[in-house]
Amino acid sequence: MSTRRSANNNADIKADNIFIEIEDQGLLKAFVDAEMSHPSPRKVVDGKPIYATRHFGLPKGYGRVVLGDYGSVVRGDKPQIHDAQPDVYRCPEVMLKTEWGFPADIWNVGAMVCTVFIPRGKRDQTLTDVHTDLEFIRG
Amino acid sequence: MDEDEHSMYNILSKGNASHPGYHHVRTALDLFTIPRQVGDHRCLVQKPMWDSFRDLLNRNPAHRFTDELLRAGLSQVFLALDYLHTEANIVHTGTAYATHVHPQIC
Repeated sequence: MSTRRSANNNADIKADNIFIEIEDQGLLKAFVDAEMSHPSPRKVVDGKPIYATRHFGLPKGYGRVVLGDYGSVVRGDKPQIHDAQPDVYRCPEVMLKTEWGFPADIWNVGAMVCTVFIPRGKRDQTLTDVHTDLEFIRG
Repeated sequence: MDEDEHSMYNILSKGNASHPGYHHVRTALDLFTIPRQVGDHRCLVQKPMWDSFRDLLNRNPAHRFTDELLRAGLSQVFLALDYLHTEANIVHTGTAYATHVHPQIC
């Protein structure tokens, strides 16, 4: 269940911040039933219980795809020049320390596609290659 | 959650619901604040979601999306971005490394 923030707290467009809605309401009932019959493991720290995460099962059909996490948004009607985006996800504008805006999001979608679609093992290299080129241009 | 993110959800929830991207942006069902001596604690109530794309990736033994899944996913992500860009006038990919920026929402 998506109640946690990503560990490094970067609110970029990445696989962690794109969610699939629950269309199949049976998932919720199954979740509750499983919790009732086999409660999640828990520990108590400073008098407060901390529960192990219980995952949902597979749905009969996928719900809508939604984009979440607005902890890093900036307004788009004036160009930004500050450093943004983590490491290999940085768009060329940020790498080259020039003005950036809406297109930075589209670049980020491309980087996200690398993480979900390029075969494992080639992903990091693909993104690193792009940034080696950009660093070369930057000089 | 900081004050800026809190106000962002307020704006997104009240945006133009007829835009095709509106339903692809995660909104808040409720926002409330618990006052505390050490600083107010802002709380966000949202619909529970199924998996994130990351979770979905990890469920797949090949650890990658199929063409079909990527195509369906991307078209909806782009709708969400169009909503953020044209209706809310914000860039999502923001300030991960910035320490001095305070987004103003118009």
